[in-house]
Amino acid sequence: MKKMDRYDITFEPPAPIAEIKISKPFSLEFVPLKGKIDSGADKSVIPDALREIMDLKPGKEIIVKGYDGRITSKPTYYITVLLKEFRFDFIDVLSSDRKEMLIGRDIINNFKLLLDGKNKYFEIMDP
Amino acid sequence: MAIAKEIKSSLESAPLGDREEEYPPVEYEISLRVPVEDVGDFAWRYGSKIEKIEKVKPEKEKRESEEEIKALRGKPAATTSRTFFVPHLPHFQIGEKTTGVEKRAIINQEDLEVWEKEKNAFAMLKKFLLSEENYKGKFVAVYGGKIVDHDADDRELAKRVYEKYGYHPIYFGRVTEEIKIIEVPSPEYG
Repeated sequence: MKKMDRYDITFEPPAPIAEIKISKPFSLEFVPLKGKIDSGADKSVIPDALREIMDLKPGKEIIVKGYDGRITSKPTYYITVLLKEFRFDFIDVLSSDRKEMLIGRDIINNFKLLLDGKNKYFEIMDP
Repeated sequence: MAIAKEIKSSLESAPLGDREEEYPPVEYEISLRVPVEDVGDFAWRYGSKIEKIEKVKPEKEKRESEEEIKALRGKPAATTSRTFFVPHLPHFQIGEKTTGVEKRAIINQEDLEVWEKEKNAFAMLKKFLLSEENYKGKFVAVYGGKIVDHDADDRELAKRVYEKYGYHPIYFGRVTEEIKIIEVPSPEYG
């Protein structure tokens, strides 16, 4: 029996939300949060407030194009991400004023993802 | 802004000044409440010294700010050799919507300023780096205004550099003339 996760129906429309943990580089203190799987995002995004609490230091600078076509320059932050049995060290992410993390293709492309929207299930598998 | 000026003046009067020989240097931690409209300005000036940011209701905010400013005036830090205050500024919970001014308050300005300096150093060195085969197309790490390491893989580079120099604002830039645009089309990205 495959382990599948239910869509979070508190989102409208329901969304694939994964339990995720993040930490700053070399830290063993992981912060749990919800991560919305977003295959349209090139890069993952963490909440501004969490970035501040974790005292993350800016690393790279990238040019970001938002949904409205607006282009802005933003710093990115290197973090460690734990998702299911997967661990990603030194993933650089953006931050914005939001509640949960956006899990972009920089993370998604490392595993096999099944989205069963009709039955409101999703599955993250090792390829 | 008037309250921010009062706070600034209180903070600036805190050092011992001429009585430095009489009293040993003391670390001052100031506990204050600032109106939301002044938070941005205050955080900009004292960002590195802000320990905790706490949001309070406007009507309560004004009363407490005035009281605390009066308290500071009444007890200048110079007369007490070991006075410790704890900074309190409006605080924003995770995910809570913030206005433009409030947003500025939760950014560690000191880190950003240091990082901007490293970024500027990279911009100045970029032309030279582009002419060097060792660097062209690779990522470089700029720390203290100098290129401290380079690698084709930015994650490997970040790991090595943070390990060697500690977790500080270090600029990682790619030596290329190409401008890559990252798309985050979710409306909620902001």
